[in-house]
Amino acid sequence: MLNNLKFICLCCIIFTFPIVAIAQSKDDIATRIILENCIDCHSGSKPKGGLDLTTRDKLLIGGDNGPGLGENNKNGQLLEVLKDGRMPPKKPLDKTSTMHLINWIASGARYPTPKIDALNTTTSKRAGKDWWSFQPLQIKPVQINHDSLPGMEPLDHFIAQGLNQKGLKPNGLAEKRTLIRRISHDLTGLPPTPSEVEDFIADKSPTAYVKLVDRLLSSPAYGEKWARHWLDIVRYGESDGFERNAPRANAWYYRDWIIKALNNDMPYDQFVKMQIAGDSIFPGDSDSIFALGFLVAGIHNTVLGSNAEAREQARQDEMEDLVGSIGQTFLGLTINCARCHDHKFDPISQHDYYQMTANLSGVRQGNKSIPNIKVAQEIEKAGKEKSFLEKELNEIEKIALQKISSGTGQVVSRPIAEWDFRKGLSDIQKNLTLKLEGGAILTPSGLEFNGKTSVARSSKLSIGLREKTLEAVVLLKNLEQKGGGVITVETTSGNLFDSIVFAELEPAKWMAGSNFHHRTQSFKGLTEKEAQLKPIHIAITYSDDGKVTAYRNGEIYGSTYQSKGIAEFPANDTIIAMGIRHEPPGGNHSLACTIVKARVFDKSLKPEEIKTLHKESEVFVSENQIISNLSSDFQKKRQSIIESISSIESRLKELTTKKDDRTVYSAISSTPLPTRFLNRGQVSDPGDQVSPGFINTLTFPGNIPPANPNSSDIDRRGTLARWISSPNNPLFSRVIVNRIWQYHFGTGIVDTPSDFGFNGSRPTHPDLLDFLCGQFIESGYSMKNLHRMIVLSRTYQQDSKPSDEALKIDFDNRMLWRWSPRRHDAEVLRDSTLKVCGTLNQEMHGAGFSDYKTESNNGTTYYTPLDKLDFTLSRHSIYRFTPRGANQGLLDSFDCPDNSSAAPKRSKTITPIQAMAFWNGEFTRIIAESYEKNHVGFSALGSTELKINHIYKNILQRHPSKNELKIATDLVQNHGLPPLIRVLINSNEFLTME
Amino acid sequence: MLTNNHRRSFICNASRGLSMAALATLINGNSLASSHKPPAPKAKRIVQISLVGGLSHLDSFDYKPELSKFHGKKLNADKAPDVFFGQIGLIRKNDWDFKPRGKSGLHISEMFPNIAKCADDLTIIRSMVSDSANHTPALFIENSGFSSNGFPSMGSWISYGLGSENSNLPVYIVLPDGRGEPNGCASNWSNGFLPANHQGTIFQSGDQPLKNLKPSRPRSPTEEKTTLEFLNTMNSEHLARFPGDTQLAARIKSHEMAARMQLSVPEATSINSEPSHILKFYGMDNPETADCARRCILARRLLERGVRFVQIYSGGPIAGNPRASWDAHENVKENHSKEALKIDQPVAALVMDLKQRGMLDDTLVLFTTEFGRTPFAQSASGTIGTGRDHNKYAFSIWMAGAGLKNGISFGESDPIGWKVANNPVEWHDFHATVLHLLGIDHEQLTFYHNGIQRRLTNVHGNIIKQILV
Repeated sequence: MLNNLKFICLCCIIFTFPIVAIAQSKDDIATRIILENCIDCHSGSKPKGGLDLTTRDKLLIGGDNGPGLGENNKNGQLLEVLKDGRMPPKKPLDKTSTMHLINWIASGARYPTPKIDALNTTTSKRAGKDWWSFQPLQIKPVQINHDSLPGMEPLDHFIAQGLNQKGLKPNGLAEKRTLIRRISHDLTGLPPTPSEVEDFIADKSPTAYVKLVDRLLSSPAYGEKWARHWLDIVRYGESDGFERNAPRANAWYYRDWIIKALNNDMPYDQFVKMQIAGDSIFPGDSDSIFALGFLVAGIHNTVLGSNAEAREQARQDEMEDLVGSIGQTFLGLTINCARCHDHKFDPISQHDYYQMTANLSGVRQGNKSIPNIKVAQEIEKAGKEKSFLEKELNEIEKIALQKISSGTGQVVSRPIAEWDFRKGLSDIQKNLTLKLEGGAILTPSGLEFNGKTSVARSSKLSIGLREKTLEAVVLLKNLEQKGGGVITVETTSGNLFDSIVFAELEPAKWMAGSNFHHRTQSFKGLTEKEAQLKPIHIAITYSDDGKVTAYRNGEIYGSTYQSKGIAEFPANDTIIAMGIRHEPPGGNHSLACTIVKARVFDKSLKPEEIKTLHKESEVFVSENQIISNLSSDFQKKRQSIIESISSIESRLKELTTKKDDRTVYSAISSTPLPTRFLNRGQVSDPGDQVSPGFINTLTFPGNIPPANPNSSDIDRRGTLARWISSPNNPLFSRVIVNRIWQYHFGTGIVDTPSDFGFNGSRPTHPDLLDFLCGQFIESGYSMKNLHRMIVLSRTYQQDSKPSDEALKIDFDNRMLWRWSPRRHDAEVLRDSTLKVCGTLNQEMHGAGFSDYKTESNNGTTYYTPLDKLDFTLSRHSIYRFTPRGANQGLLDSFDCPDNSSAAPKRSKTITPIQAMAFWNGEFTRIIAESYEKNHVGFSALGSTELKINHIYKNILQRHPSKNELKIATDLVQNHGLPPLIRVLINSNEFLTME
Repeated sequence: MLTNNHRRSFICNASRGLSMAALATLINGNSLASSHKPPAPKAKRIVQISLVGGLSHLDSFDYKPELSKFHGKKLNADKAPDVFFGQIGLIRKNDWDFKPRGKSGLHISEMFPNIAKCADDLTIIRSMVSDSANHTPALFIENSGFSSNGFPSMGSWISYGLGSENSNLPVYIVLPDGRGEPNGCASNWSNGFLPANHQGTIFQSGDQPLKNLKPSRPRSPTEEKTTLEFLNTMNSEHLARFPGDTQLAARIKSHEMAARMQLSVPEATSINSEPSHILKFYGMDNPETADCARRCILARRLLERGVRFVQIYSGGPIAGNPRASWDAHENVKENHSKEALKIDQPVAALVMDLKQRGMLDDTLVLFTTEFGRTPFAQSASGTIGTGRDHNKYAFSIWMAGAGLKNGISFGESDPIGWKVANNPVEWHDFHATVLHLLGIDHEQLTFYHNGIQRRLTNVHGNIIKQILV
């Protein structure tokens, strides 16, 4: 997780059980002892005392205190330490092992394998490549138990085996009222209605329960209930956290997407691929923008100060959060623990961490616009009309231009955009508008860029570009800077670009920058010497055949070269940028300079044209010149085209304001910056560049090669998602199957749902887990099918009554001799209360409701719980606005987690604060008082007894007992109905799933 | 060994018999099963005064005579200082005079004339360093050891580790500045991934100090009694169907505890029952000091009644004009004078009052801030502005009370107070020391979360032995 400079990973579990020796030879045993006891400290880039014990050669070299092995194996550091008995420092080696090593040294200290690799073999202190969860699924046949009970499903036989072994017997089946209350809460987060209970009890057919389960699974409330579990796992929150904690008003699209995906039973592999790389794997699916909300669901620091190192630190923290979340969510692995050193407990190297990070380094946080399809079509149509007219106009003007040209020899090409920044920001050709950001400022001598954050971006080009000329007059701040761009044509994502670049690959030389250097070669021009003293004229032409030529002060710069081919810039997705090589600004993309003038042409200008451009500042043909060289017919035609174009333009302008009907908080894909290995995780100590890759010890058939080092963000994530969701990846199905099991039974087969590593717990029923995985994969990753298998089992339908005997053997019910009763989650409690009191607003989807007072104070947002309840606020809790670090009122006291970190398993506390919140709080008062008016026909009920019955049936789905009726009648007669409702919703019977 | 797995099995074992004590355990997370020999506890309770925004150590607790000598000179450094706003002015001398105080002769400035009177009871640490010079992350580190949201605060860890001495009051109580909560709000006293019962509980001023203490609309005593009895009947009958279920039993108990809390909280918070000379002593009679005085008196009353950890904030939201915190970017003299006036008398009174009641022997007083301020002014280069920027490289805090050497200072910053010169103390060290004084080994107080046995001190933390008795 996140911390400055120094990070996590600690262990307090000191295992004391003896070495499990599977070794045969003396040497095997010796290296095993070293692996168990020494290798943690004496390996890696900075072994303790300089002594590395991983190979024999390194042992020979030794460390700070001399060679590890002396001549004739007589001395040496290792032997000395063994004799002293002072290692390992906290718990020195036992006698037997010490003697064994001493003998081993005497006999030559042979290593049976070339290297002792801590990541390879599981020891009593850590997991290796052979760790259980890394092994392929082992799907064993179901062993039918001889004394099986009626209604046993395959999975029950696995449970029965475990019970038998412990001498436990399963409980009988739960009674029908209990069962329908249990399954309704479990699948939909809501209690059944009184009539649903009556119908179910009345239905004596053997399929009554199956029908019930199927009805609930197809209810929309299923997605609303189970989306909450998923959002807990992925630390989804609706504000940034940290100092400003700004709300994310557009984050909810992700929540809605989850609900819909679950309700549609989207196959789990697709569900995962969409969230990591929907844009890559399902490029035609416009929903991917919502699903990618996963990547940006975590906290995000927006206050970074001016210090570059601190900013990089924050970015690295964010990467850790993302890699950590992906590892924990989909693989049950804490990859994030390997940021500063190899994982202390799991077979994950520090290098693995950085190569996993490289898959994600193009992911940025931000708001993305989704075009309104209808408007987009209109824009496209108008754009086509416009370019048709412009072509016509060009044809007419060409006539005039030819005349002028033949008369004067003047350059006739007309730029598509032209700026003279000494005069202002506007495009002289009136095609584009320019927006300044990050401190770019207009000065009398030109447009100034700071080389760090500033950039100028144009509006989108309505035409596509192939052939082109980029031209600028520019003064550089200094000649030492490297890699920044003067003027750039790029797609809005920045993934495709051509740019006039200074000194990216060769110091102080000009270059034609392009994405992955596709169109870049050295011009072999001269080193720049004066561009910091006076503005120089620089131009690059790109011709249709792929030739690229640069000009400096009108003369060819170096020589022309043939590139791999010209780039195709699409209409309506291409912009002109200045001050950067490509998006985003910062790093070595930015140029510190002042741009005096700039032009872009949609053709490759000829050398003489460039020469003229350099010589003359104002070389363009004037309006009057054109008109006077046209016949009156053409003049009229021209005028009418110009008017049509201008009317289309104004229509386009209007359409543009309507083009985005939605803004979504999602992942912004950017060009991945190089990922570097950070020694000790410190940004101040970068090492080699690391290419995208996976976890090297997690191997499985159906090899998926990592993304290419030059690949785009989208490709990297696509490859990662395919690797993670490979059907042969054993962790992929184990983790989700275990999660679903956990939410049904309260505890998973593995009790640590996001950690299948060494620090996690071991599966109680490993065969069952793998069996369910097999079924899950066979069903095409259907989560609903898995739910169905589980809840139709006899184990699930068991009664929840405790027995003293069973409690003695298995207090925590890990063997599942009963169904463990448990208190509802905060949201289920709130929603159930709303439902039974008749006020649940069933509106699905869309922007959420907020029960906070949200106040902004000088850039920071504060959230105070509102003690209020109205129709809008009575929606299902999944639609509740969930900022971070906010007191969540009632829900807080019932363990609703702060979504700053993942909550794969919620705690269940019982406190007086909780009791007071639900007994005294405003929510309870309002809801109790509203019961009467919310239930149609309630007031017309003739007697108090009927009313009490109504209340019992709605809240507890049963009739009151005689004694209860007596007490309730007294209570209602003296104090009215609301106190009775308050008592019932506070009762354990209401609060608990039985 | 204090892993929660161990704890859990302990709780379960203990609660099988359903004894009252075990129930209290279940509810409050009281007591610990440990095979490890913990340090002997010196302190039973803590009050922390947390100054939000960054107190200038150079003008308060870290006397640097050299600073006047360098006044108006440029900082002599190989690398430009990496400060938050990136404006590096000339060195500025301290704006307050310092004097040696008490028998110990500890130098404390005129900014805190009353606290200075307690000099012989203080243990000043002048070599604090932090990982962040950014307010909210720095305050998070001060509270939880981590720079981001989502980690349990020290108070929560203490609640988890020691539980309650008085189950009728929350274990960890937070008293925010009357001007508002600091940035990060509840994340600062968050239980993080610890169970929710360990989060800091805010006590507000006014007649309902604790939210939901009383019904949102008044109820008659008979209604309250009847309904509570009815609830109890229902729950008891329900429990009879689940004999031995500790969760259900604990919930019944929680209502009884809530009822007791409804009596104990108003009693504990009724400051006006204090004699008038005490009220005056803390500064309740002065509008400038009244807010802090009220909270200091309240803190003492809560501590007396067995609350483990009381946190008093001095300063509200960071941004704004005029500033409502110690964040003196514009003018240290003006800002710190105003802020110090609000807390000097009440905090000094609290230390003296605890002492005269004999409580300082087993109570720890912590006076902290997220970072210090720069020796150079925050102004254009070549000028001596009136404000100072954030400084994470050196700052001062003090502690007082149980188990500490009194009237001493520990660690030093360099001659102008820009960076630490010797004995750097990180927040992890500070946290380790506080836990040690409470009788907790900081390496043993752990909680499993997402693959890691988490600790307040992460993988760090050295106890500052030199300041211990």
